[in-house]
Amino acid sequence: MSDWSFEESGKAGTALSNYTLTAGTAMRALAATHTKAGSLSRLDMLPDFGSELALFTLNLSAQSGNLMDIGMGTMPAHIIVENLLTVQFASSSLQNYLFPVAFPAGQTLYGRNQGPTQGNLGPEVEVRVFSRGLASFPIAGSIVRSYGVVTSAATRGTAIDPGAVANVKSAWVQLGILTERGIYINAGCYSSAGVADQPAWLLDIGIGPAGSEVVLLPNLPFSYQFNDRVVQHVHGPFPINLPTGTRLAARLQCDSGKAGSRELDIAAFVTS
Amino acid sequence: MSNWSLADSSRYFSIGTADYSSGGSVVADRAVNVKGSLTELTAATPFDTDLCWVHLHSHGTILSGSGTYNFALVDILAGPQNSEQVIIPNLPQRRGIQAGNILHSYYLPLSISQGTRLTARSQSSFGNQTTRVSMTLGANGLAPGSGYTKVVTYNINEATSRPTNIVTAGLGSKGAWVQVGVTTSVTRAFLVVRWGWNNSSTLASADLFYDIGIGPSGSERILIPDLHHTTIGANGACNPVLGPFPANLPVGTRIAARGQGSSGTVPGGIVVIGLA
Repeated sequence: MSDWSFEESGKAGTALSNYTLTAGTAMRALAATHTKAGSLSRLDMLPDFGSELALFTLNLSAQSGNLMDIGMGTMPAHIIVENLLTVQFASSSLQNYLFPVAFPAGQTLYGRNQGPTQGNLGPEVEVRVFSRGLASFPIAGSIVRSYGVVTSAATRGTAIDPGAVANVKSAWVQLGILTERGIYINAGCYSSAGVADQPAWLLDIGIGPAGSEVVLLPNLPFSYQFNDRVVQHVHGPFPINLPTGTRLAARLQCDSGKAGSRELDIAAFVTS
Repeated sequence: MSNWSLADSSRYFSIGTADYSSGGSVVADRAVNVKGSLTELTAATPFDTDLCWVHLHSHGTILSGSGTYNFALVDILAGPQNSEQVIIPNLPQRRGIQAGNILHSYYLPLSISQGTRLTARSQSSFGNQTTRVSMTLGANGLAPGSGYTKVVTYNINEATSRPTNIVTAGLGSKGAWVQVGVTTSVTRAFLVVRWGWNNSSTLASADLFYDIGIGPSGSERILIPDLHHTTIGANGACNPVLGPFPANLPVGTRIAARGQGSSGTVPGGIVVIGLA
């Protein structure tokens, strides 16, 4: 008999997937334009095992610019992952977020969404959870906060214009101040401008006060995909160890100085 | 005074990014399905690292003619000149069939010692094209390192630069299991890549669910269910690299995959990258 049990491997399970349609669970943008509902709606149950790694998949086919909160527990649910940003242009656009965040077994998932058009369908969402087995990520967090996300009067990230001179970093732009200790960071760039061009970018994530930023993550690459004409990529999770109160900033360079092509929205997601 | 030093945070640096905004040093193929020459990414890493991301970027790759496909494989090597050893073999990169950029980013938390020289090379099914390669390397602050020492890529055929095809079933049912590989090292985590097979300009956009399974043929058990990928018309997959996911697979474990699609049968390859 092997001394190796498959059960010792990490377990994996899904929630919110629609196997009949090969799709996720769609959420509507509720309430007014660019406004979230006051409470979260019940979505699904998590699998019957505890997990320490979660892959959120959001698939958006219309209405670019959506922010989704995911919560759990009993009503009123508390938000575990906030402001997952998705954009799209000409085609459906799939966005994955991988977070080392823990979920207890069998929890009820809740969600809410905001978008540019009241009542329209937002992204389909799915979550895949993994128990660690032997660890890929050293520790798991319990909550994911967003930084640089604009939720009032718009639904987007923080706009950064790298300027008309190609291949030169922009000035630092603040994304936010950590409200909790951060142990992982994911960094994303987004654009749904739909410009038929092919720029590419390098993003720095920095920490420190204005004027004294220190590069934490240098030169994360992003690209513009021609056919679906959208930029939507999230790097990470990168292990970090940042205390509450740390100022997060970003700066960007682009290999095109063409206005209307070079600008991107930036957002960061910090697991605590 | 804070008891928290910023120096305790993880430290990161990038290599292969100094010369060009698109994120990578140019790594050139040679003839069809032949490894190209080495491009140096760094002469010496500045400190010990245990976090490693490899970014492959097809920016500027423009292939004429609808129906043309171009798959590339990129190796990362360590060591002094003329003594390089492959530490990361055959990372898949699918290049655009039209003007377009495709970014593949792989998290492979290998330990790499300070002072290591790193290089890259590529091969492709089209030949004489380029990939832009960069890496993000880091040291992990307070947390222990991953301890991974080896990367093994399954379901790669170097003779064709392509994976074995896995055709999805249509709505509501999975297709047949197709072997992806048999583990040659203990596998403690793995990444899953769907490699677009879209050499048809008329291929419909589709959503795809893939199961990753283990076990002998006819007795497969699902290890990870329903990983979601998409194709967008003829130009392939969005965000096709998923993971790393946890695992604990002994040597000799058979890995297989199967899929279903929202738009009939859709071809494509599933590549598993194991971390040992």
